[in-house]
Amino acid sequence: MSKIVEETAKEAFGKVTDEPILEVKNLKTYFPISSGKWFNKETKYLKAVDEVSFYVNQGETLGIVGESGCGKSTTGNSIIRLVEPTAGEVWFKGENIATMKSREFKPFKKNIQMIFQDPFSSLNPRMHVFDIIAEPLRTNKMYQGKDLEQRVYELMDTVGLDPDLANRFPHQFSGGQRQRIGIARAIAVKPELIICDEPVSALDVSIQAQILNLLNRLQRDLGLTYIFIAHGIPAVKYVSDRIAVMYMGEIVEMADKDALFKATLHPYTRKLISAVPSTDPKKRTIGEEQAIADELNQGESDVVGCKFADRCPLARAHCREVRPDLRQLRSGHFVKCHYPLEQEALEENV
Amino acid sequence: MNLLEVKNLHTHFHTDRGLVPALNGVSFSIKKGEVLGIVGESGCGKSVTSLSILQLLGNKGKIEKGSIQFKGQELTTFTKKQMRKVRGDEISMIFQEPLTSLNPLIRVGKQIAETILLHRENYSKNQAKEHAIKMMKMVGIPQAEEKYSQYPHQLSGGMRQRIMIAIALACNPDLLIADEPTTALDVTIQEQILGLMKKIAHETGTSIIFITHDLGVVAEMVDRVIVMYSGQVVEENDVVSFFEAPKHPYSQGLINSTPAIDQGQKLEAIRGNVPAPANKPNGCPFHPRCPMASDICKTTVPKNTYFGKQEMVNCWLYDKEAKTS
Ligand SMILES: Nc1ncnc2c1ncn2[C@@H]1O[C@H](COP(=O)(O)OP(=O)(O)OP(=O)(O)O)[C@@H](O)[C@H]1O
Ligand SMILES: Nc1ncnc2c1ncn2[C@@H]1O[C@H](COP(=O)(O)OP(=O)(O)O)[C@@H](O)[C@H]1O
Ligand code: SF4
Ligand code: SF4
Ligand SMILES: [Mg+2]
Ligand SMILES: [Mg+2]
Repeated sequence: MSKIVEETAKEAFGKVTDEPILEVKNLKTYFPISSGKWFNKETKYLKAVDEVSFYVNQGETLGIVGESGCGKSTTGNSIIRLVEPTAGEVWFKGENIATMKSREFKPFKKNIQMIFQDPFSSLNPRMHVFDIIAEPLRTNKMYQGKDLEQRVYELMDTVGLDPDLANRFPHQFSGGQRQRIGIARAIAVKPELIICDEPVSALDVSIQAQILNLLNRLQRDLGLTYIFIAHGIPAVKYVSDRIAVMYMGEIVEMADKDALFKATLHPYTRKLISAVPSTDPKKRTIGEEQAIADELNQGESDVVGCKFADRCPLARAHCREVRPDLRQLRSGHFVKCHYPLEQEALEENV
Repeated sequence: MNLLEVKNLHTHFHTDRGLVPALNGVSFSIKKGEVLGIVGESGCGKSVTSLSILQLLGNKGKIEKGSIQFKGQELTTFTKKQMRKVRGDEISMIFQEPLTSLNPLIRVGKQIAETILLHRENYSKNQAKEHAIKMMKMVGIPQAEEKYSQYPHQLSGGMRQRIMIAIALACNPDLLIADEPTTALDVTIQEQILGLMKKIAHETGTSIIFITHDLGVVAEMVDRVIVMYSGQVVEENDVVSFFEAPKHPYSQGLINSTPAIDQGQKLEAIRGNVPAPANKPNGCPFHPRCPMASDICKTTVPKNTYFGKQEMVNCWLYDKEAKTS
């Protein structure tokens, strides 16, 4: 019998981290959905984020992956309180920012910036690029007059935009350039943490690579910490130090990038990784037997046991009765599963 | 014999803001049972190529020059009525976003049955319904009888894409054009749809043109690749050589900028952007972005260089290596 360390995530956090800049504990964000007839209305809740715990170390990139609708964006939005979390704690540099009043939250808001997927709709179409980038600097009264101008040009240069184009409108730029504008705006106020929500999903691969390399360079030069949310697994693998896998509002596995791919513990993570086509035509993996439908059952998040049980090839009766905890099986490797894959291998070898 | 042979195709759009020369001499062919991939960045002309084959260019788009031979017939000379017969019956198409291409007001099963009735005059309504349910089962829709009378918004993205595939295959076409059929889907659903398309190719012998900018999907699905840039084919290759020894600097750029799940290489982005068709640079259209460009590239359009029958590159670097045409 191997000595598997069994601790819940709650106990383990704080011991393993190098130096977390952000710690999210038992975060829940529910959206009310009304159902039933008008005379018998009951408010049900869609549990977009349901018991999410993770940490992000200073200067690293934490990737968050998972299928559409699993709650990735809502997690990011709850941290910066674009939506109000229903319960849980968000510790940023020693303070719980999830519950503080909005006036107290203001300085933290400046310190955590966001980059969005759609560079087409996240920029005000009627503003010059100059004003788009200057806006957060003006709001936070950081620069004025000539200094402001200087700072905006410097930012444009940093993200690879020609400062001569400062008087153009967003629609006069390509998708990749618009994403650079969004990045310049995000780094303008010198934040420490940037939440990138699908920042390259709308872009062509060649432009994706430009933006991913830019984000890496800025991280090095400015000492930034990133949360990188995306459903494109190869891109997440490329930029992240650690990766958290989400499934139906929960983190089901979190580990160093290499451990996640080489020593996968959660059956869902394995399913997700094996679905990604390899770029080697001699290693084709998708067969005709995979044509069978098997879909995320949204809305039915009221299950008692493990939410993945309906799709899990390893599910046993116990899985349907008891919801597993997120626990640390190895140093820094967390999994929310009663029968993780490594253990399966151990048992087979007995 | 080739099922489809496209030669020197020029397609232009005459818009209020001027002429948009979207395709400038596109040539390629596809054999029976073959899966051909078309790759290239947004705006390179992939969709216009497939819309030209189907002659779905709208009233502003026009095939100016070139030939499209399908089963030995010249499609560019076909009347609207003849083309309507070809579409859906002999050539059909699946689009990226199944929600916008399905009619939201009509039950999904009925949409399949309507396609069948359109092309099979001898079918009764009941026969068409039976056939539609058979198609729904074939594309792996569980409880097909029940799903027959649901509306598109009641189905998930993956199920809607299966309906689109069922419509496309309802009349057993010779050629299926799939334009980014899985781009809007999650990887786990993509895996199922790709598995389904492999099964279809294998069971029906349908030829498939697979348009995508995801090189993982290309590696997984296709036999042969054509690379488009700025309205032209710049490389044609079999899929293994394309990944192992891409010839055109643009192909190399695409491969080097694609993050792969099974290797940790550094990504090398291609600098700059695809030019708009109206601002196409002189000489080789790729020269402003090409790390290998020399003086001749800036002034003179490169010739096609052929290596055997099915390998071609349009680049000055290869001009002396093989015979040109
Ligand atoms: N209806 C139209 N009117 C004017 N220009 C058009 C029209 N349709 C396409 N074009 C232009 O033709 C060129 C090729 O377009 P096409 O849609 O084929 O590109 P694509 O490679 O398929 O791009 P994407 O991957 O974004 O779909 C583009 O520059 C596009 O702007
Ligand atoms: N404002 C909202 N009101 C109701 N439901 C919402 C809202 N925002 C998100 N949701 C739902 O919450 C779930 C998670 O959404 P989201 O976090 O956006 O997913 P994703 O992982 O795709 O980013 C989805 O089912 C979504 O439809
Ligand atoms: S707890 Fe059970 S059902 Fe859930 S992932 Fe683990 S083995 Fe599968
Ligand atoms: S012809 Fe010149 S510019 Fe064009 S791809 Fe070849 S080397 Fe590059
Ligand atoms: Mg999202
Ligand atoms: Mg297209």
